[in-house]
This record gives sequence, structure tokens and C-alpha cells, in this order.
Amino acid sequence: MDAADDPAVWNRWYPVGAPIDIRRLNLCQTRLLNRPINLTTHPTWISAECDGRLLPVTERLGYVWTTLGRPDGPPPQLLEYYEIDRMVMNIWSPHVQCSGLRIIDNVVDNAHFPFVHPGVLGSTDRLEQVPSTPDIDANGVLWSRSQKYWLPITGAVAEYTYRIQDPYSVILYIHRTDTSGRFDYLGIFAQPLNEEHVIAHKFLAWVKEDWMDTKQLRADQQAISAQDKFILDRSFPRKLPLSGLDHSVGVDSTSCAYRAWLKNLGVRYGTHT
Amino acid sequence: MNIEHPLVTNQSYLRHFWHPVATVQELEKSNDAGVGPIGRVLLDEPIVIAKCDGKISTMRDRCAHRFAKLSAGKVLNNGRLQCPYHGWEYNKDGKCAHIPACPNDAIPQKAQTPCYESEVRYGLIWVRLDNMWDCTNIPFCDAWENREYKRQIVADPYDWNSSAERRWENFTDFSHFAYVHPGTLYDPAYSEPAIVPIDRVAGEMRFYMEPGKDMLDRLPPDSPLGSWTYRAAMPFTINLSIRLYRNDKPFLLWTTSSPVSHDCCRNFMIIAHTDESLSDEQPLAFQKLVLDEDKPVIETQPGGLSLTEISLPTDKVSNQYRKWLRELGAAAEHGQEAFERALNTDHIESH
Repeated sequence: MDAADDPAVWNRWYPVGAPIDIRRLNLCQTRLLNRPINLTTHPTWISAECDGRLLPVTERLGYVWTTLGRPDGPPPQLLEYYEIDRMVMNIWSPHVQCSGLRIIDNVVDNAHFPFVHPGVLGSTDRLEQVPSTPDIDANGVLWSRSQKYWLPITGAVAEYTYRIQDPYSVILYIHRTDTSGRFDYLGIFAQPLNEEHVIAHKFLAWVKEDWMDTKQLRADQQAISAQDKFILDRSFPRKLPLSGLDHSVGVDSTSCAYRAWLKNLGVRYGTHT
Repeated sequence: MNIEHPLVTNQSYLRHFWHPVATVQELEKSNDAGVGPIGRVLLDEPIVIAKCDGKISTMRDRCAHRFAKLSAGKVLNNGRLQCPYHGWEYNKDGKCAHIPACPNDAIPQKAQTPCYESEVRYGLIWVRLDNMWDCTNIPFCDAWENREYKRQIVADPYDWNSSAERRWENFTDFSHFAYVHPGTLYDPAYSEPAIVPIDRVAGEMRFYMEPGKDMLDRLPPDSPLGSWTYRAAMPFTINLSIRLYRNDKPFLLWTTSSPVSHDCCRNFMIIAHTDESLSDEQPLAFQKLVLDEDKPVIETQPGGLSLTEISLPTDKVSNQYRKWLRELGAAAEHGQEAFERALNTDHIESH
């Protein structure tokens, strides 16, 4: 289908790359919702244009965002990203051969951690989870709060909260144990190239600790993404099914809630029918 | 410093940088002989500046005897700096050479005041309080490098009851123009600034801004509207090279803020331009106008920077500046190697 026929997808902001990467790679062209996007790097900003039409752009959370439609608000907001004691980075922007919705669905699906990321994000010895009951707030944002499960890399139970306010983006709040009320943030902003191909921009905004090594952290996070990419590149169907969820089990609650939320929004672009 | 969640907990890293403490002209005008002494304060440390034996010396402003200020004394014809209280005489290297009360006794080893590394450049007297690591340079100034400049003006320093950090941020802040300098530096219509790429190169923050050209008609002719290229040597110097829209000529605004204490700074400014017929008063008067708009606002801020202040996406320049200050402060606690790495590791966003 044409994304222009799906207002729930069309009237959104999407990232088209990290400015630092666009400049370094001299990136002039990308795609969004099956349309060519031309990028022009100016000394102080980056402009985007589609078929001769200059598009609105804004730079937020380490990416250049644009839209083909008429969004009724700004791109996802996360003011904490700009806190001075944080380390922020674009971890990786890999091309993945599936719908961007599958990427988001994969992030919120904790049940895959022990199998796809063994010894890092999960362990088959410790499959127990405390799933949460997702809720939708007054602004229509889908939250899945305080999920807890075993995290082998830290040797402790981790607590996560997911926030989904756009079909193609998710922000993960990692609860900090030593400073309650603060979170480390990790997220994916998907750039749907078309219904079955996506660039998954993955960012991180963590409170910087003395021991943190930026390069190592990026490498570790890229390795985790590479494990996901291996699975996601082999998705069948490439698009995300919103119906036929009867094979779901309790721990898939967030994934189920996400799909139901998409359905409720009327999202069709990138879904399998 | 009673600031909640301070940006940098230990300010001692600033002692490793070069800071100006006076203009050469101030020393020359201090008395008929033009040799001082004059007293200044840098990072809470009282400093005496004097020309002893023909060389400009900077020492701790304290006689070793009873701690009187040497800056209240005088430079003798023998080239020594004399304490005003009991007449102890100090050499240019800070060693006491004569004690009038006991002229025939041996001079105690401890009879000296620390002498700091100092250098004259750009018409300014620079001091580095701690040169143990010897890994910092006197900041870059384009005024005498760029041959297009026909006139260099070293302005009289001015004091603000504000920290050097706040002054730096004020000078580079893009989003205050519309509110503090409407009609002077900027058109109020331009209140949402660009989020520009920022490089770290050789201990400098470098970035570029391009204010709207269409403001040209609405600002006074002295307003240096043009493309702005910033080279800001950490921690407190800014070399702002402007390419003026009105005649495509370069115009330099160079400033450095010298940290007197956590809530007081002394600011030095150099203006360079290409117009040989322009009187110095004219650009100086315009800068005074701008400073008079900034000062009353900036002095309302507490000196210390706090992590609890809200940082916006459009505050990118000061956000990056603060991150770097924080890194430098933390690195200095880990020693020279970490400090040099924090200062000299380049990071490029612009290309």
C-alpha cells in the first residue's frame, strides 16, 4: 500500500539519519515510506527534500527528523537526553529486511532475550519474568511499566519501562538502582524505507559513570543489535501481523498490547493482513 | 560554592590553564615608571604583577614575613619589589634578597613568594598557576595572524560579578539574542537558533553560525552581523571571526574571561578590523552597549553551574561546553595523562 493512504503513519516525524553520520558519509539520499529523500548538508543544518518539495526538518535526540505529512506535534520528546551528565550516542543505524513495526515489536518482546542474547540480556536458566500490564495514558502513549527480569551482564534483576508514542519508535527506560527517579534510556527510532525494509536508528542516553568506555559500550550494543538483526532479517512475513495473536502467552503481553495499540490507531502500512 | 549538584566538583583543573591577569597597558599606566606593582586575583589567589629587572614577573601577592600584600609596595631602582610593611626586597624570581631589619644575617630559605609562569602575548599578561603538567597553550587569537586586519584594539578589561563559565556561555549563547539584544545584535524574529555541528580540535571548541542576512536592514550599522566562526580554546577564550554581511570583510571579536573567583570574572577583549579610518571608540562603544545589555542579566545567575539546570536541544553549544568542562575537571583528578587525553582528543561533527 501507499503510505500516503495511511494517515496514522503518514502524518508522523521520522528520522533520516544522525547528522554526524550524514556529514561524515556525505549522505545525500535516503528513502522514507517508499519515496526518495534528498538530503543537503549546509554549514549549520541539514535540509530534506522529496520530489522537489522542501520538507520540514528538525534536529532532536541526535537525529535529523522530517515528515511527509502533517504531524500534529513534534517528534518524540525526551528532555533528559540533554542532561549534561549523560553520555549520548547513535549506536548504529543498520538496514533490516523487515517492517519497522517488527523492529519495535522485537524491542518490547522480552521473552526473546534468553534465546537471542544468551548470557547478555537473558539466560535460559532464568526464564522467570515479571510481566507488566501495559496501559495507555491520556496522550495516547502506550506504556509497559516496571518489567523485571534477570540480566546476566549485571548479575542482577533489571527493571524496564517501555514507552511507545509513535508506531515506529520505542524508548526503553532502564530503572537506575542507585538514583531512583532517574533512568538510562535506550531506544529505536525506525525509518521505514518501505513496508518491508527499515533503517533502525538505535540511540542511547545513559548517565555517564566513570568506568564507562564509549567505544566499548557502542560495540556491545551493536553486538546485541546484530543478534536481533540476524533474526529480524529472516522474519516471515516481513510485515507485522496484527491479527492471529492466539499463539501468544503471558510474557508476550507488551507485544500484544503494541499490536492492539497499532490496530486501534488504524495503522496499516507495514502490517501483514 | 553553595550550588546544588555542581557541574564540576573540583575546580583545581583550571590552574593548569593559561589565564590573562592584566593588560600590558595597565601595568604601564600603573605609575610613572610603568613597572607596577599591581595586584590581581586569579582563581582566588592574590597575584602581584611587577616589572623587576626589566622583566614582568607574577608572584603570589604575599610577603613571606607577615603576609602583607606586595602589590601595596613598590619596585625599587635596583629592580627589586619591596614589601610596604618592613621593606623586604624580592627579586624577579620571588626570592627575598634583602631584609632591612637584619641586614647582616643570612636570608632564610623560606623567605620567598611563589613565582608563577607568565608570558606577554596579545598585549596581555598571561599566568599559568600550575605548570607541572605543561600541557596547555596560550589560546589562539587571530588579530595579528590574519593580514587582512589593519587595526587591533586591546580593550580595557571589565569586571562582572559572574563566573567565567557564565560569561563564556553568555558570549556563545544563540537563543538569548532575541531577548537581551533585540535591535542591537539580533532581530527578535530569530529566537529559535540552529543546532550546529560542534568540533573539538586541539583543545578548542569550534563551530559556525549564520544569522539571517535579512536582519541587516533592521540592525544598526555597527552591529557585526555576518557569518560567525568560533574557535574557543578551553576553558574561557573565544576567537569569533566574523565575515561581515555588509562588506564581506573580516571582523574579529576575541574575548577571554579570567576567573577571579567562583562568582567574579575579569574580562579581556580584543577587536580587530580592516577599516583604518575607524576610530577605536566606535567599535568599543558598540561593544559597551552590548555588554551593558548582558551584564545585568548574567549577574543575576549564580556563579557556579549546576547539573539541575534545564538543558534544551537548542542549548547545544553550552551543553557541549559543560560536558567538556565536566570531563576536564574529572580527568584532572586522575592525573596528567587523563587530563591531556580529555583536552586533546579531537571529536569532529562538521565533516
